[in-house]
Amino acid sequence: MHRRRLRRLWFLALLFLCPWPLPLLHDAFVPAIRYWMLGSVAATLGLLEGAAGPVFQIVLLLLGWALITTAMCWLIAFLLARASGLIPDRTALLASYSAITGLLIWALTFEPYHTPFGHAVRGGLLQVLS
Amino acid sequence: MTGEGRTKNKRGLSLFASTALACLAGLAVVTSGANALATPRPACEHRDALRRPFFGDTHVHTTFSFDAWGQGTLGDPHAAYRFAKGETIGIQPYDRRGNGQTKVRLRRPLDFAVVTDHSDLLGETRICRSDDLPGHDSLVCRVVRRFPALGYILVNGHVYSSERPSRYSFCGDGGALCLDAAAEPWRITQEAAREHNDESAACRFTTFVGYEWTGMPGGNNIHRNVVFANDVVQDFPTTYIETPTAQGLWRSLIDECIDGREGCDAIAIPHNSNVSNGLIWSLVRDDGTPIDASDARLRARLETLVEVTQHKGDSECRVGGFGGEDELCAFETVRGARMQDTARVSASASFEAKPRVYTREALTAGLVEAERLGVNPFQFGLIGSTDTHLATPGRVDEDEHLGHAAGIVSARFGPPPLPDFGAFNPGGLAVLWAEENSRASLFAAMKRREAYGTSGPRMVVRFFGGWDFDDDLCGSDELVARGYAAGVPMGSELPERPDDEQRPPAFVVSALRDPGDGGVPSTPLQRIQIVKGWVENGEPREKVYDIAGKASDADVDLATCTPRGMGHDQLCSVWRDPDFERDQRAYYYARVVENPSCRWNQWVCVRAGVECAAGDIPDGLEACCDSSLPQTIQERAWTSPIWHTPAQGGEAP
Repeated sequence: MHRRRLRRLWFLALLFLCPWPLPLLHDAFVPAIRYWMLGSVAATLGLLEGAAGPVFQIVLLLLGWALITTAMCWLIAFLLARASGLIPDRTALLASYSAITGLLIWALTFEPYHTPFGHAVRGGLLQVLS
Repeated sequence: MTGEGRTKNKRGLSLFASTALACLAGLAVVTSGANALATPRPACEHRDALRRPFFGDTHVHTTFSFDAWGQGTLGDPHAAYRFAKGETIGIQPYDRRGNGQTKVRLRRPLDFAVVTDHSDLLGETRICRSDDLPGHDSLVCRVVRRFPALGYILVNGHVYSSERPSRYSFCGDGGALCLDAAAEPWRITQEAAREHNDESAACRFTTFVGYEWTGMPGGNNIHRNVVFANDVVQDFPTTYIETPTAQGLWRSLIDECIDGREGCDAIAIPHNSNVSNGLIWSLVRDDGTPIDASDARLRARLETLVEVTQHKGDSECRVGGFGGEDELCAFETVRGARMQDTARVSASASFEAKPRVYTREALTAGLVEAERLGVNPFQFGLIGSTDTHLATPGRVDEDEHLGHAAGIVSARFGPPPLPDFGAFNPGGLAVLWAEENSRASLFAAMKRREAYGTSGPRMVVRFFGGWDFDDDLCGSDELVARGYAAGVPMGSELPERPDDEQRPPAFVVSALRDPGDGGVPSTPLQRIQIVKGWVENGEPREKVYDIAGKASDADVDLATCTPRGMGHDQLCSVWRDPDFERDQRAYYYARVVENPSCRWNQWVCVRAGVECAAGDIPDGLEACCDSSLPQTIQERAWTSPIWHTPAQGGEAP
């Protein structure tokens, strides 16, 4: 129970906070959730207006990459949860909360993400989610 | 005075006025010539019957182009023309009030420019940025505004790269809303050209109305820039969406301009054959059947010039072609077969270009077609241009390159540390030999192909062909006069060989180094070459001859970008073709090459103090230490060809 809770916690944190580079298509370094957003927008446009030219490939790239990075987030969360079994539950939970809070503050305070698809070249978490 | 007398006087005055008006109208028609300019103008103060070189840019995008606006460009056609004339303008990044924060200015103004915004998406762009137009709140426009870079990729891809392009649903039935919305930018484009065209006797600056037809089926580039002779133009520019073939474009220019509107004339200038996969030189009609003589004639009539070099690469010749004998073909090569592959290709990427991609291959194919059809469909001259998407025509200096905002999606935030893709370059210039800097004179030069292209520098190149040139012509003050009197200039057909002439044709090429005025780094000339193409037993052949100067060990100090070694301020030579066959079709063009100088990326790296060996590499400048990226460039000029057609060998287009 404890391990599953930790895994979910880490998975959500990584999904929203951990930046990933985007292969092939421009310099991006944003969390997986952003790739889901971009992929969904592109897919919606393609569905409603037609996917002529390379639109289909772009949708495939964005959603495919979103899926891969999400899987990576889950895998890291799984490993972290497994590793937490080596330390007492209470300590693991405390350490996880502290680390995630630290990550959240970092993502909100600084501009760690490279977001060329938006309105600024770099951004913090709020820009990424807006 | 009696009433009858007053009536007589009135009649007399009326008759006089009518006659005077008729005379004035007749005078206007006579003085304006066949391409009747809409408004007569005073003659230029400086007119030279032996013609002068005028430097310009025929490929310029402004905020009206979807892809330029999508990358933040706010400069309109007025800004582009002001920039071309030497004024300072602001470009990305812009403040909240739309003032460009990067100030740019040409060191040397241009003599002429043509704003050629994409005709496709002209209306869509206006709708998406104007909140009072229907369609502004459509999903497409919201995506474009909310995710500009993503919108840029999706919309460009949807329209330009599609084999069956279509309007978005928000354009309404038949695209009516978007076509209506496009009328305003098209009007402003014409208005800006009219306003900035210097119609005083000083004739300092010339503009032309133009647009870019943006076909890219399957990502293969078949773009053409359309340039009109004067203010009489099409009601609406032809679009790839409504007219998705080059043949359709030509027909529309004939129907809606040349034959359909008095005083209207236009040419179409293909560009970036390097990323066309050969489609740009297609020899089949829309229905897939081979072209005939009338198709070839139409093409040759409209496509008198080709852009041989520009921001997205050089299109002269194939690297390694013909056994790799022409090592100078390895010049600003974009290593991708299609336009849509160009953005991220590395300098060492491998790719396979199909046959008949480069301009030299098309020139040779034209000879084959001339044998078959009696008309050469590829009888074109060569120019260069920038393809700027920053509304900055003529910004070609390597040491000032900020990219041209094409393909770099983050350009809207201002140029990144390395401001462009490594494979791209600042682009080139178009040079026209004309009597004066006026629309009539320059357009006539475009039509007779008396033009050449440069990769940026302003070297002055003359090229004449004839049968009766003295071998010491280079030393004569009469070189130019003799060139015109006894021969033909670049872009022409050699006259028939006189019966009593046994020698092969002679070609005289004279080149003056770019003077480097205005603080532009100036590099000495290294050599002049003549490139000959012909067909032998149905097989294309080409050969390159060094005719003045030679390959040397001149180089450049990469730490300071200072050129080293000897070069020439001017070069000239009279050359006779040692391999001439009088019954063989052939073309000849001259290539003038400078000593090596720093490429734009090296200027950036030197100024940033990058020390690859010491590992001192600032963020974003990692490419400075990429050994596959050229650090130097040999700037050059390419003249339009001179063709030899055997007697009774066919007709000129």
